[in-house]
Amino acid sequence: MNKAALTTAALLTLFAPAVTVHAQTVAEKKLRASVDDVAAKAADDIKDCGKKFKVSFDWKAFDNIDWKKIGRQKNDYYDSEANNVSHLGEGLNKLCADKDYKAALTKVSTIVYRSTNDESIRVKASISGGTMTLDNYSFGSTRAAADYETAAKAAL
Amino acid sequence: MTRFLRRSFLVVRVAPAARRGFLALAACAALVATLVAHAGTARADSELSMQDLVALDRQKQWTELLDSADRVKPGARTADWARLVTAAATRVVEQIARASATGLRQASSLVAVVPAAEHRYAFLVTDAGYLDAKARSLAGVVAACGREPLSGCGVVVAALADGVARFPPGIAKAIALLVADDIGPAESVHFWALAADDDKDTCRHPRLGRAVVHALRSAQASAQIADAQRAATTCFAQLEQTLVEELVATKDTAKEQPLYLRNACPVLKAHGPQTIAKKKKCP
Repeated sequence: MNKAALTTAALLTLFAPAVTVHAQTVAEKKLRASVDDVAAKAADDIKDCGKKFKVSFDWKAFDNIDWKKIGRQKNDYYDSEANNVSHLGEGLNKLCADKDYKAALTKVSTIVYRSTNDESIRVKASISGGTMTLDNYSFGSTRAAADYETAAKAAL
Repeated sequence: MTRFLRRSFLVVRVAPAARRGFLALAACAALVATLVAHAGTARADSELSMQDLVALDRQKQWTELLDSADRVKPGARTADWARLVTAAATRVVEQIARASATGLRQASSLVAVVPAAEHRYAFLVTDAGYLDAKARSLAGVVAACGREPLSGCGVVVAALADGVARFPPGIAKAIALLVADDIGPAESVHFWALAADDDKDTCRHPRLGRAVVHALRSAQASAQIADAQRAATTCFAQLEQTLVEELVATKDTAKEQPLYLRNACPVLKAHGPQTIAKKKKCP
């Protein structure tokens, strides 16, 4: 076997497990779909703001968490993330009881829920253009509506 | 400082595992309280001469000198009087540094001398040389507290640190943690502010944010509020989220403006975007 072939074989050995890890199983796809459904339901919970919002779960951020480094199993967190997202709409809807926040939200059309392992935050909102991103420390207690309300108020 | 001492007796109930060691510190804190209480009262002890003080200095009886220098009548005090007192206090804090290298128990009786002396001779805490020696001795006491983590360390280091505005690297942060554990987060804010001045990375410590918010929410003393505001300003990038969330959570319905709004708004208005919450609560 020549040197190039050996190198290729070594590289294949190195990368093969990584490819396996990133491949989603059917069960995992179903779990993700159920989280997406919860996000869509959260969007429907924002009823008093006079407009429709799109709520999405940032799967790229979820996958980018270094699960191995933090010693956790990604598959264990689909349910808790669904729980976290389920209160998002209710929390943001509360903002619209105040005319100033309601007016500020007219500029927002998309709300992104982003998982993070940054333990220095609970929920942190940031606004960029028409998108409000809600970063959540995903390994703390389950987020309630008030957490999203407070975070959004801090950013608007 | 008296408040620290009063609180020191409360911690007797905790830390059963460290009870033996703690008792030494509790006894130390109690001794400090007694010495401070007696320091201000007139005593019937006999008068001392300047020669007596010089003799005590020659005999290296620093503790005795500090205990009795105020028995030299004001009219009899020469220019050397303050120098002898300052030198004796400096020697005591140097002894603390040496004694704490072998353990807190060895240092505890000496530690008790310091706050009482500073209470009696207020000029000590304005003497740069004495404060430098005290800062160095604190490094030793903090290290000893790290080796023998005992309840009561925070009380002792807070009492020792009075007046010191600059510590060796890392010591202010270590003191802040000890004081927060033993006395409370708001009381630790002075040391967090110094630690953040010393090293900006300290701003990332979660307990700094907690101390700042506690102090802004509850502090009545202007020095403590100023320390909290200074730390909030120095660490604004790291604390902005916490400070603004507390602003949002603070109800402004009472007749009197909540302390948090009064204390935090000057910092919040001067930094970061003018959010709706800031406009509503920090007009």
